[in-house]
Amino acid sequence: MMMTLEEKLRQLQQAAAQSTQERELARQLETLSRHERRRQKLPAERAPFGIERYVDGEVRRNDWGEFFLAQQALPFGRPYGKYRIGEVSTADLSGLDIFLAGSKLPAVSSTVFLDTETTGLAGGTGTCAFLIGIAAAEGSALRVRQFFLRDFKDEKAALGALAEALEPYEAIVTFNGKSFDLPLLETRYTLARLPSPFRRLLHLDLLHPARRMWKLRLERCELKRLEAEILGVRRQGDVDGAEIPSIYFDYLRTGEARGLQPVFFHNGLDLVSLAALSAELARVIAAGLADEETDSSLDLFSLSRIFERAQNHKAAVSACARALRAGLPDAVEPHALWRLAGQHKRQARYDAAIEIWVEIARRGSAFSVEACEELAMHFEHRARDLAQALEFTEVALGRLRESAPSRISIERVTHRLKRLRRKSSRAGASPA
Amino acid sequence: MGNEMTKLAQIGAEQLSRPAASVETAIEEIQTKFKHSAGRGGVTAIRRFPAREAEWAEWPEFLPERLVEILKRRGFARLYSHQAKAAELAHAGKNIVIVTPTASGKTLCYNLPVLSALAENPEARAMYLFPTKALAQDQLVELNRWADELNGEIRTFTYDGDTPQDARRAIRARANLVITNPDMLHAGILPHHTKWESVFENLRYVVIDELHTYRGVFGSHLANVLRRLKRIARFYGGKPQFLCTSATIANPGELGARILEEDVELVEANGAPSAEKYFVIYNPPVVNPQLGIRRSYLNESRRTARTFLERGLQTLVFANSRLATEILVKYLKEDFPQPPGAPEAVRGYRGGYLPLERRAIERDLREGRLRGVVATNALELGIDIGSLDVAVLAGYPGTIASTWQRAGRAGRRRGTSAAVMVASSAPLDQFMAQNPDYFFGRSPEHGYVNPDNLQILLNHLKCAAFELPLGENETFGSLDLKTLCRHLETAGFLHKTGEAWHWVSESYPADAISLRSVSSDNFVIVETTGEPRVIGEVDFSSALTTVHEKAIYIQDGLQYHVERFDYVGRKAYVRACDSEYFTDAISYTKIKILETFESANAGRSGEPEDRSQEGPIEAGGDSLARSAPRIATKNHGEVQVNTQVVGFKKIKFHTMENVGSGDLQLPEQEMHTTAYWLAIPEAVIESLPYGADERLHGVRGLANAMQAIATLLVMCDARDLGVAVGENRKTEARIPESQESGQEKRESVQVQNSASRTAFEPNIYLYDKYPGGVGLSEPLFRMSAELLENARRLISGCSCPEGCPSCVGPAGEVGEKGKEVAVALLEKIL
Repeated sequence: MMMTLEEKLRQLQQAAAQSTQERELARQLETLSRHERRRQKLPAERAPFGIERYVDGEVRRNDWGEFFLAQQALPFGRPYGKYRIGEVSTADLSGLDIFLAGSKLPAVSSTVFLDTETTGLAGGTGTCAFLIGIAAAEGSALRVRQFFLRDFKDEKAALGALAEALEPYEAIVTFNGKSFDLPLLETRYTLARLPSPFRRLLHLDLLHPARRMWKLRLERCELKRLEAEILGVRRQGDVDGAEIPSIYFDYLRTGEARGLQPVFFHNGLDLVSLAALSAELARVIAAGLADEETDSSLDLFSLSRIFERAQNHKAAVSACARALRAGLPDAVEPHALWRLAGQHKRQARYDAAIEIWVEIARRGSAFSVEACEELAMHFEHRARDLAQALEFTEVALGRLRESAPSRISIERVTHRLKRLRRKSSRAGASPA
Repeated sequence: MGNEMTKLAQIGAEQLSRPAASVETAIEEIQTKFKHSAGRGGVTAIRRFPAREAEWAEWPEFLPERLVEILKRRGFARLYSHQAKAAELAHAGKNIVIVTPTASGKTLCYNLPVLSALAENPEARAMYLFPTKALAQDQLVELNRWADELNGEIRTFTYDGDTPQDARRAIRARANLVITNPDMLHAGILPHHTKWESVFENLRYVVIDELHTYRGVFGSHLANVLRRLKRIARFYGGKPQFLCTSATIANPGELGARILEEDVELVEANGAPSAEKYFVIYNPPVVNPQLGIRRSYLNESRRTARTFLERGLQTLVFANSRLATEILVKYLKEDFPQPPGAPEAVRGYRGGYLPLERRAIERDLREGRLRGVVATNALELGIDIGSLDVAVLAGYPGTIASTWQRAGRAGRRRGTSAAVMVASSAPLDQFMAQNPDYFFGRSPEHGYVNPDNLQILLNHLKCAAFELPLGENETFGSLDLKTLCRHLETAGFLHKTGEAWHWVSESYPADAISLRSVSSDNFVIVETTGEPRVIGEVDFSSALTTVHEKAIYIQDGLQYHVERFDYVGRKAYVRACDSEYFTDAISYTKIKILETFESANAGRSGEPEDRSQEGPIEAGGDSLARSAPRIATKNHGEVQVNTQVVGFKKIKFHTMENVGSGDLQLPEQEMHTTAYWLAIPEAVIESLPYGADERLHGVRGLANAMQAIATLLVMCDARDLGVAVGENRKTEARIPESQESGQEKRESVQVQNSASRTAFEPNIYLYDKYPGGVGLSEPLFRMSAELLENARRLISGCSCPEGCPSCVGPAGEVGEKGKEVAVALLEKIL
C-alpha cells in the first residue's frame, strides 16, 4: 500500500509540472532542449574524451590532489588587434596608479592578470570557479596559465596551486573582480579551508577605470566591446558567456570535454585583452598627463574628469580646455564648460570662471540654472554687487519655471531671491 | 523587561488620567445594555483573574558581577523564579523552551545566559531569530541598552532585508550578537556562510523567539533551515545551543524537539506577578431564530470597542482577516471622526502595510497618542506597544493559544484590564460562547510540524547542497538521503563526484523558496487612480480570492475596485472607489484519493469486527450491499486537490445582505497533499429515513461541523485545513465535467448534487492546505472519535431549529433538515 520514496518523488515531479510553476518548468525545458541540441552534435557511441584531448596541458599533482593545468606562452611578436603582444607585456602601467588612491602598481613583471569561468553568476557558496586563468609577462612572452577542475574534487589542489603561482606577484588586475571574481575565490578558499592569497595583493579592478575613460564614447563598456572598439580585436569562434555554466555541467555529466575547448579559448582571450586594455589605458592616461594629442575629444574630456577626480587640477583644466578646443558634441559641451568653470573657481581664477558661466547662462543650455546660481553667489558674496546677484537669480528662476532641467529646486532659488531682496532693501539699493 | 523602569514611571500618570473603575463600568454597560430583549445572547461568561504574587529567586552564581550590577541599577532586586531556572539550564548546556505569558520578563530568560557568555568570552557569538522584522527592531532597542551599559562587550546588529548593502560587511565582521529572521538566515546568511566564518565557528547560542508561531508549513521550513544551520556550524567546528520561547500551547516541548531535532528542557512555571484582569465572552443576540442569524459580530465588536474608547481606554481590536480588519477600521473611524488634517483616532495594522507606516503606528500606540488600533494577528506577537487597557477580539481567533496571546495584550503589570471576545456566528465561536467552561478549562492546542514533507525537504536539500556538497553518509531528516540526491541529480540540480553530491545549477535555490507561503509569488497591488503606485501586496493564495477582477480590495479602510488582474505578471490594478458592498469569492474543490495510509472503523471502538455486529444498519437488501462496506471508516492518506475560484458574491456593508454576484475564470490550482477523511458507505446513507437531497445536506452539514472542530483539535487556522465533500466512486464519468467557464463548473456541482438520487457514497475530507501536507492528517485520524463526538456536541448543542451558520451551516445552504440528518448520521456512525 505504501508508496516508495522513489514513487513519491516521481509523483511530486508530475504535480509540479501541472501546478502554478509552469513558468519555471518552461525555463527548465528550454535549458534541457539546449543541452539536448549540444549533445546531438557529439559523435554517438564512443567513449567520451577528457580535457587532455582538446586542450594543451597536463594533470598536476600536489599535496591536496590533482587538477589540470593548461599553459601557453604567447610570443611578444604576435599581433593582437592594433597591437602586438609585446607592447602589452612590456608596457608601463604606472598611468593606472591614478585609480589606486595613493597606492602604486609595481613593475609589469610583478603584476598578474586574472579571470575566472564559473558555474553561474548567482554568487554565494554554490557557485564555483571551474577555470581560473592568470597571465603575466615573463621573459619575451605573455605566459597564460589556466587552472581547471576536471571535477569538483580537483578544487583544493587547483586553489593550492593557484596560491603558489601567485606568490611572486605583488599586484593583481581583473575586470569586475572587486564584486565578482575575488569574493567568489575567497569563498572557495574558505570552503577548501586554505588561506586566501588575495589579501596580500594590491588589486586593481579595471571595470570602473575603463568605464570612466570610455563610457562617453562607447556607452556600454563590457570587456568584449572595449576589446573590439579600443583594441580592434575581432573574436572568431568565441562562446557566449551565458552558455558557459551549462557547457561545464554537460561535461560533468558526460565526461566529454569537447565543448570546453572554446571556453579555454574564451578565458585566454579575456586575459590577453585585459592585459592589453590595461596597457592601453595606462598609455592614454600618461599621454593625457603629458599634454599629448588624443584621437577623440570625448576621450580628452573623460581624461579631464579622471584627473579632476584624482585632484590633479592642472592636468584636468588642460585636458578639458583641449577637449573644448577640439570640439565636443552639443550634448556634452555644456557639461565640459561647467566642469572647466568649476576647476577655475576652485583655483580662484574667478574671471575665467565667470566668463564661462556667463557663456553657459547665455546659451540657456544644460547647467544654465547652475551657472546663474554660481554667478549670483559670486556677485552676492565676492563682488558684493546685489543688483547683479538679483538679476542672475531671477534668470535662474525664470529658467526653472520654463522647466529647464536642473538638480536645483525652485524653493532654493526662491529662498535666495527673498534673501537678496531683503538685503538690497536694507542696503537702500533699488533692485531695479 | 528592559522597559520596566519606564513602564513603572508611566503607570502613575496613566492611572491619574483615567478613572480606575472605567474598565468595570464599561463591562457593566456591555452586560446590561447589549442584551437583546427577544433573542438569546449577551454576555455568556465573565471571568475575573485576580492579581498574582511574584515568585522570586536569587541571582544565579555564574552571572558576571557587572551584569547583576546593571540589573540592580535598573531596579531588579532579584529574578523571577522562571528567569533564574532558564538561565541555570542554559548555563548547564541544555537546549530550552521557555513558556510564559506576555510581559513576564521572558526576554531576560535568554538574554541572561547569552549576555553572560558574550561578556566572558570576546570570541563567542549569538544569533537571535525573530519571526518578524518588527519584533527584531524591538529587541534591538533593548539590546542596545545593554550594549551601552556593558561598554562595548556586546556588539549587536540586525541583519535583515532592510540592512543596507554597505553596512553588511561591517556587521559580519563586528557583531557578536546578530539579530535576524528565519527568512534572512535561509536566503541571505546560510548561502553566504563563508562570509560569516567567525560567527559560525564561535556560535554559542541561537535564540528562537515565539517558537509557537513556527507550526505547520512555517515550522516545517524552520526545522529544515536549522538542519542547514547546524550543518554549517559543524563545518566550522561550532555546535550551537538553542534557547526558545513560546506562548502557551499544549506541546511546547514536543514542538521544540521536533523543530530543533535535539533534546530540550522545558521551563514552564511562571514566577511573574500580574494585575487583576477580566475576560468576557459576549455572544451577539439572535435576531432571526428561524435562520439562526445573530447580530453581526463586526457591528457588535464595533459597539464594544466604542464603549471602551469613549471612556478614554486604549483599546486594541483584533480581527481575524484583512477584510474584517478593514471593515472595523472603517466603522470605528466613522464613530470617532477627526477634523480634517488631524491625526486619526483609530488606525488599522496588518501585514500588507508598508514597514515605515507600521513602525509609526507601534510608536504612537506606545506613547499613547493613538487610542485605538484594529489589527490582524500581526500585533499578536510580542511587539512592544506598551500596556493597553483593553483587547477586543472580533471573533474567536481560531485557537485557544492565540486567544490567550491576544487577550494578553491588555494589561501588563498593574491596573485592571479586560479582554472581550465577541463571538461570530462561525461554529467554533458559537461552541466557545455556549461552552465557556470548555474554553476556560481546555489546554491550548498542539503545534505540529512535518519537516520531512517531501516538497519542503527537497527544496531545503537543494539549498543545503548549494551551501556545502552533500556527503553520502550525511543525514538530513529521516528519509533516505541517497534516494533524494539521486532524484535531484536526475533533475539536473546535483552532480555526484567521489562521495559527495555537488550543486550544479546556475540558480540560487534559496531565492525560489519562501518559508511562509505555498508559492513565493506575491501579487503587487497597483493603484491607478492617479500616477500608478504600489500600495501593498498579497500572497499568491489569497490573491485569487481577494484581488480577482471586479473584487473590492480594502486597505486601511479605503476601498479599491480591481480593474484588471494580471495573473501572469502577478499584478492587480485597482482604482479608489466608494462602494456599498464588499466581495467574497466562491471557489470549487475536487478531490481524488491517491493512496490510503491507514483505514479503520470510525466508531468509538476503532475495530471493524466489533462494530459489524452492533450496528442496526438496515442494509439495502440486495446482494451487492452485503459485500459492500457497511460501516463508516476513518482514513488518512494522500490526495489530489483541485481548486478553482469560479465567482464571487457582493455583500452589502452593515446589513450583510447578498446584493449580487459575478463569474470568474481563474486558472485551476492543483496540489497533492495529505488528508483525513470519513468514508460513509452506501448502506449507512441508505439507512437514513430521508430523501436524497436531505441526505446530501446532512453530509454537508456534518462536514462543516467537523472542520470547525478539527481546527480546534489540531492547532491550526481554519485557513490551513480545507474541507470538501466528495464521492467514493471509481466511476467519475457520471459527473459531467466541464472544461470551460466557471459558470458551467458550478452547474456541474449542482448536477452532481441532483445525480445523488441514485446510490451515493460520500467522503468527507479534511485536508492540509499545503502541497505534501504539514502533518495535520495523522493526528486527526487518531483523534477521529473525539472529532466526531465534539461535532455531535456542537450540532445538538446549538439552539437553532434547523441548522445555522454556527453548526452545520445556514439552512439556505444545507436545507431544512440538514441539522437533523447530520445528527442522525452521527448516531449511525458512532
